Amino acid sequence: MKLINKHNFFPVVCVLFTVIMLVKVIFEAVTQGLFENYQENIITIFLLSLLATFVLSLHYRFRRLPLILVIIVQYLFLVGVALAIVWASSFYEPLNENAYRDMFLSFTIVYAVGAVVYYISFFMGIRRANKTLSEIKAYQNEKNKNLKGEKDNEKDVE
Amino acid sequence: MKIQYWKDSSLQEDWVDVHYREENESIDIIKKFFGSFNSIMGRNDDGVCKIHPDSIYYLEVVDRKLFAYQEKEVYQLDYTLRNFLELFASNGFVQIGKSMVVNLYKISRIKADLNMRLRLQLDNGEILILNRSYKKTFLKTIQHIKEVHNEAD
Repeated sequence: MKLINKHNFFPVVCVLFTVIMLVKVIFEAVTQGLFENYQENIITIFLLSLLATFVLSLHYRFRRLPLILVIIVQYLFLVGVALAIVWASSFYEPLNENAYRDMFLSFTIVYAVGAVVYYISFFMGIRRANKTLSEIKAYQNEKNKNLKGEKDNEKDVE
Repeated sequence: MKIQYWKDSSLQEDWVDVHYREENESIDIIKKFFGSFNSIMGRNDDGVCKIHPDSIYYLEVVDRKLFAYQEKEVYQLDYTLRNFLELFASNGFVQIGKSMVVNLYKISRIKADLNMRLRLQLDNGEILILNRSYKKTFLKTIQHIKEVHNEAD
């Protein structure tokens, strides 16, 4: 059995990278007592990714709602949570003057890129489906034409 | 013509094979006879009529009644949507909504609207909405039919 193939290659790389980074951060925190900006950022990004994936995975529950509305509401919710995390962290440590802007941009850019990729793949899927459909219909028409031709030939012979 | 009848209670369903050397009038009659088994009865204001599944563009359940839409005519059928699909899915019928089934061979084009819903434009100009819940099955079905055609070639 081939565990890694061309379909799961990049997901496997992402999982490995995530696991190694988390183990490293936790190991450093436990053995060396290190938990500074670098470690904190990694944990924050991991938790935000976890939350974003969870919220986005709920889209199937909102199939009755317009997709654009679902995408916008999910974005507003997630960016709200991200900014709330920044706000909450301000009680424990001083914030950089651009902290809110940086968090907003970090989240928005990733979300926008994801939305564009989804949008493009959606329209490419339609194009593929149209191509498949026209091939199916061409095959069916050809088949019907051949059947008709056979019958016409038989009539001519008679 | 040699005719044989076999009774076998272990069969899953009744079936008929017709072996012939070449098509002739008798074979044509037999084909038409067995083809009539695929026809279904539909009724409208003008009465009851025999319709062929391939002539149906789409089906819709309205008030728990199943209606078949041809290019111009509409007939009520004595089937449930599920029954109809079980019997005629191989004719290219696929579910696109909770109460709607379309004949794939009657779709001229798939389009997307602003809301990223799929709109199926039929050969007669009508437009049906493909529910997002059924999108995956729909795309899988057309892909499967294409693969079957490729294998047949």
